[in-house]
Amino acid sequence: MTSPDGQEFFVWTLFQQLRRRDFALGPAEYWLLRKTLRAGFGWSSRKELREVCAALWAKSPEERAVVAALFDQHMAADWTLEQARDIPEPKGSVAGAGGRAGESQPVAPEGIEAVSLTGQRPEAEIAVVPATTSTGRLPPLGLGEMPSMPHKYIFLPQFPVSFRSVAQTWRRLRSPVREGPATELDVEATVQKRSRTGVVSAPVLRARRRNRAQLLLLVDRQGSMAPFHAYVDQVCQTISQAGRLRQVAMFYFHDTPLEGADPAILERLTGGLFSSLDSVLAEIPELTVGDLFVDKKLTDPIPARSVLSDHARGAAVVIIGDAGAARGKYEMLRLLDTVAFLKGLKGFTHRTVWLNPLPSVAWAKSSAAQIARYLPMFPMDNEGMHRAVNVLRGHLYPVEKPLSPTLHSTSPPVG
Amino acid sequence: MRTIDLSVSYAAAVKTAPVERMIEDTQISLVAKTKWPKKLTQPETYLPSDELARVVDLAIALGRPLLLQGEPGCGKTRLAHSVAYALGLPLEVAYVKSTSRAQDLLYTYDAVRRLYDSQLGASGPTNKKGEPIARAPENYVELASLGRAITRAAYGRRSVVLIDEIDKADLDFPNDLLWELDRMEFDVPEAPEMGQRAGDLRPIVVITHNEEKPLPPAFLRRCVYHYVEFPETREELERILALHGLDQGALLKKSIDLIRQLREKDLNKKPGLSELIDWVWYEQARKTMPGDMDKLPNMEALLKDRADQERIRREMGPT
Repeated sequence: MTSPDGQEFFVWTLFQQLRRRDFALGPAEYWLLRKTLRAGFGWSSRKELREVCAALWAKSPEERAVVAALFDQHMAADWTLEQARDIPEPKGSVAGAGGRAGESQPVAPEGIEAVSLTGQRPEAEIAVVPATTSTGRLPPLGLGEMPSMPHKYIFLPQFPVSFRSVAQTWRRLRSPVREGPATELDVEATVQKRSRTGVVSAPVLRARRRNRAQLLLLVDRQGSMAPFHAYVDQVCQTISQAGRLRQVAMFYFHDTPLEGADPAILERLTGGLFSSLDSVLAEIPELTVGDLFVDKKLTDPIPARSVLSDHARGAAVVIIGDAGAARGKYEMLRLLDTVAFLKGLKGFTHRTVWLNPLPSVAWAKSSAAQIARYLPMFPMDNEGMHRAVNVLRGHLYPVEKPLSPTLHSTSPPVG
Repeated sequence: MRTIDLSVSYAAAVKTAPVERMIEDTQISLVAKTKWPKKLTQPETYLPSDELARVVDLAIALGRPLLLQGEPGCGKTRLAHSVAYALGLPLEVAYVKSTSRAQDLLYTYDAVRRLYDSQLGASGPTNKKGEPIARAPENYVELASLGRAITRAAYGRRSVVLIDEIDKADLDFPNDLLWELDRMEFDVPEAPEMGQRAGDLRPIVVITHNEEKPLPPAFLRRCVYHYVEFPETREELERILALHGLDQGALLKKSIDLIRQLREKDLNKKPGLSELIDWVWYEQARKTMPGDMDKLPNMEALLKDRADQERIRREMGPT
């Protein structure tokens, strides 16, 4: 996409830059812009040309800002068609450049040299290229005329998953039940009724199917989770907004869901500093007392027992946290607390998964790797969430040391 | 390959629109091939920014839907009305609901009613020739907004289609419309002869979007996008307000000052254009003195968030 004098057409450069920034642009979009320019749009002023680029290539306010900022880098000079008309035809020293501009289109790439355009607005072709060395009939450019950029830095969140893929993944978590008012026509029952009675009767209606799936999200906040707050929030918000579940309850904790398992049990461990809990696993008491938090800032506590009995019974439970992987920590006490909590959770539901914002390679040597031996843990990306939902839907996922289910949720916990 | 359509220009038409005009009536489900009914339509009070008018022309020229985004109350929906009036075209409106399906924009087929009618046999409803209407499925097909617009286009007449708040519908709703919006044609499997296909004359489609859910990329790709901004300059605001019959100079000046002050604050919900128009309209009718506007009387029309109201009461001290 170069002009005869070797200059790259700046719209092409802009297009490539946007593609590098993950804009969903393809040849069709580039062609569309050229078609648009050929039709006569975007020639009257710099602002209009920018507007045309943004209208065709940007699809959100953030993307608009990016297109505008990059455009401004390429075309700093502010010009309008009227201004260009007022500039006298350059003579003498710049005759060569001016002559070139006159005889053909020096900077427009192939395709732009539309016949209709050359007839109507000869000035416009020159006006579009202040980036070239050829001055043509461009207005003289002083430093003071440089328009200020509207944005110094533009930050676009680029999460590993998109809103749509999260919504689509979590919509697979369904337990449809017919309930509510009868509004849907039951064709089968209507036909049966009519063929049985032999007379015209009112159609049979039935209730609509509704999703009865319940989800409890327990989210680790602060400390090592701080870098993931925005991402985790986005995912949780999407699940509750677009997941179409009957109820999504969200509660927060710090480091471990609950604390307070009796550390005395650790004394019987053998195998040094990084031993696993396997030898005492059966004896770890269930832990369901303590506080979770209602708010993200962890200031509004709520008894864990009431959360679990209100939201966890028969529900799918997802714990989101780094489980020590962010800092590569291996702390026996935290591990004990977590395992005790997970055991306590078994009294309410069997469907529990852990989502870790860190990839699985980062779990090794931290308590995350240990926890992943006791319950299904997945990285918090598209594939991981897909597999997590599979497990919550009842697919088998063998873990190394499944925690023994002890169903006595009504009896007081021992811990 | 579609050709560029430069036959109409909204930017030009909006400046010269008459005070009232006869426009095809859209309140009729059957689109007439000839001799369509018309009705007297009042103009839409609307002043598009230059960019917006140009983008509308761009969307028309490319034959693509225009996707509008922006704060609530900045006139996204009103634009479609203005385009329809300025170009003298009928406006088909599709208000999207959370239960909307893509097909609902094209047509509905009343199977239950047909079943009833056919049970009644000869004693059921009949057409002019005395035949039961239940025999022909097309009697039970009712075209919806987009379906009517495409049918009209197939008859050689253009219309404007407004698909309002598309993000309220299901995630896949926009994807289900890709074919219809791209090709401007649709099929009716229940009554095959009712399917239509627009020719070169494509309906002008305006879609509004409130950012509740992001739209699918495949759908976005096919749209021309514009973000409707709150008017930047005082002159623009004054012209818009004047267009709505708010002409008390001093009062206008004062209220524009105030709204700009309010919008500079980091409010939960910034007052939009429609709020401003309502507020000034009311204060003008009550003949409030410009000096009294400082107290922000009836600011409930402007600020719709309790925390915002309390904050402004504290900071700007209205009574």
